[in-house]
Parts: sequence; C-alpha cells; structure tokens
Amino acid sequence: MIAERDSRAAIEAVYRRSYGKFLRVAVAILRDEQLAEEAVHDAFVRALRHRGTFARRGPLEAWLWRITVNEARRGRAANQRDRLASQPVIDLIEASSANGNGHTESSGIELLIAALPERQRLTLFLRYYADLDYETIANALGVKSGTVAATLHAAHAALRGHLQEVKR
Amino acid sequence: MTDRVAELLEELTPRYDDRRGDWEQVVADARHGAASRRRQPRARRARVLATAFALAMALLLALVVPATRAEIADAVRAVLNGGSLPGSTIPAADLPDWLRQVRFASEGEPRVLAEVEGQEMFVFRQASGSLCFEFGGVGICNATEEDLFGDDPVALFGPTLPPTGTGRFRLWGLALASVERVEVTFADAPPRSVPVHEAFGIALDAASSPETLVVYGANDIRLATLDLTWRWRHRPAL
Repeated sequence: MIAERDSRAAIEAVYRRSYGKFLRVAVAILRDEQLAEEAVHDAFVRALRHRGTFARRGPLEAWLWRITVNEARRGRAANQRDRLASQPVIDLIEASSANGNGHTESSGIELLIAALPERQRLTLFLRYYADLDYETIANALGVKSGTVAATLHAAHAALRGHLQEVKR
Repeated sequence: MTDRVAELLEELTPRYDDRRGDWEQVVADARHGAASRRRQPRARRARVLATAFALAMALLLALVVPATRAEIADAVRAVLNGGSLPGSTIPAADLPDWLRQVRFASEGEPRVLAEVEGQEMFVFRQASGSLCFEFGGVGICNATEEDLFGDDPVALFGPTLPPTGTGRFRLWGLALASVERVEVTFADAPPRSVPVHEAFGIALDAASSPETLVVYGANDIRLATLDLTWRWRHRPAL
C-alpha cells in the first residue's frame, strides 16, 4: 500500500512538474492541441491505473514518456488528419507550391519532419521539446542509448541538408 | 543541432509551459475505470440531474417498502399520480426554518424520508400535484417517472451541504430493492456502514475521500457497488 501511494505521488509530481512538456511533445506528434491534451490525460490515467505493473526497469519518468508517446501515436493513427500527414513529402511540397504558398524554410522543415522515419521524429521531439537526456529517451522508446545518438545524428543530417537546399 | 534548426523547431510547435493540466480529473478517471477520453461536462451534468431524479423516485419507492422492483415501480407511479406520500409526518410547528422558506412546502404536508445529524430529507406535494424532494436548501420538483427510475438498487442524491452551508456533506439515498445496509468505502480510511430503512442519509467529512457505495441485501449479499468519486468531485463548494 505504501509503495502504491509512493508511486502515485511520484507520478503526480512528474505530471505537475512537466505537464507542459508532455503536452508539447503530444502536440508535435498529433498536430492537434485538443487531441494532444486528451492523449496526455489518457496516458496518465493509464499510468495511475497500471502503476502496479511499473517494474522499475528504468526511471519512472521514462515509463511515463513511453505511455504518453504511445497514446499520442494511437491518437494519430485514429485521427483522419493523419492521412494528410502520411502523404509522401514530395506530394505535400508540390501541393504547397501549387497553392502559391511558396517553399519557405519553416513550411519545408515541417514537411520534412513529417516525412522523417517515426523513430527519428519521436527522438527529435523528446530531445528538443522535452529536453530529455539520451538515457531517458532510450528508455522511453525502448532502444539503446547508442541508437538514440545515431538516430538524432541522422535526423539532424536530414534537416541540415534541407536547410542548405533552401538557402541555394 | 544547428541553431537554425532549433529556431525552426521552436516555431513549429508552441510551448505550453504555462499549462498545468487537470490532475484531479486524471485521478478521478483512473478511479472510475471508464474511458477518460472526450470528457463531456454537459453530459455529466445532465447525468447528475438524472441521478438526482432517480434518487427521488427511489425514495418514494423505499417508503412504500416494496419487495420487488415491479412493486416498487408500481408504488412510485402511484405516488407520482397522486397517491399517498410515504414517510412520516411531523407537526407543522416542528418544520425546520429552511423548509418553511421553500415555496409551497408548508402547505404540502411534508413528510420525512430520512434523517442524518439532525437534518431531514423531506418529500411534499405542491398544489399543482407535482412532487418535491428537499435536502436542506436543495430540492427537486416536477420529477417525472422517466426521471426517477434507475438501474441500481438504490438511487442517490448529493452530496449536499447542510442548510447552513457549512459542516459535513450529506449523501442521500433511496432503496429501490430490499436493501439492508450500505457501506461507503474510502481511499484512506476504513469503510463505514449504515442501515437502510427505505431511505438513508450519510454524513461525510469534507476532507474524506469516499470511493464507492456498496449496497447489501438480505443475508449481507452484495447487490451492487456504486462509484462515488465523480459525485464527490462535483460536490458543492464549502
């Protein structure tokens, strides 16, 4: 009973301290604020209800990030808007040009991020928006720390290449 | 990461550092065990009203002491259609001041359905024929048959505050079946049981954390377990 209460208090502490970061990452994944709020809410409901299954194989915060990312991914899959996001990036760029919106840096990076492999995209969000260290990201995504470093490097390379293209 | 990429990512997704979330809602949904997504406050408010009406109906039923749900339903319909009110009468001079201030209450020959900590739950009939249930500054009138029937063996009202607006909360209930006792369980305290004589009232400390109301019938057979967390979370402010 004491452990149960301790874990609940620990989950609450993470929620209160980092809610804004959880929400930001969920928004980045879902591109919809309301769906993101629901995903974060549902993630912590799930965490509270299943906190007994937290086996302390890693930090509690990483476990909460994993649940939140999974909830957001589920929400993204369920959202019809995901169909647009999953279009090939080349189609989106062409559509943007055809609409006269121009091929700007910011619109380009949004499209490029949407086109990144999911692991690269999630790693980028957790590193940049949640300010997590490699170990926590590795625990949250279920990969090795070295994989996090390599994934981030690949994501950076893709983004830098895009920015150089835009400058030309 | 390059500074320019960092700037673009910053523009891409806004910061939410000022957001605090709703931890109490998270806890309530976790306890409730229901799907938490797409919460609907309006629908919940409507459900509260419907539950309140169901409680009133249950109260009527309990007064007639029906043994079966069908008998209870018949008894409630009879009361709604102008039949004799259940409960015990008290002299007009002994009516509490708060009830005297309720329109038509004194003329409606109010009857006592339940009592807790010196406060009664009353039922009376308006001149128009419609029934009113009063819980101490809070009441329900014009309930219809559809409003009052529920699926549980008891119907619940509240939590309500005493007429003074301070003190312990009251949770009121009306038996819709042969109920012997109800037991309130708490998150951080031992359960508390009260006997049921057709209707019942339970006083709850504001600082307590009631979780469920367990309903027991004859031979202490458990009839139902009603979740109290949502109801408690929406109790009136002290």
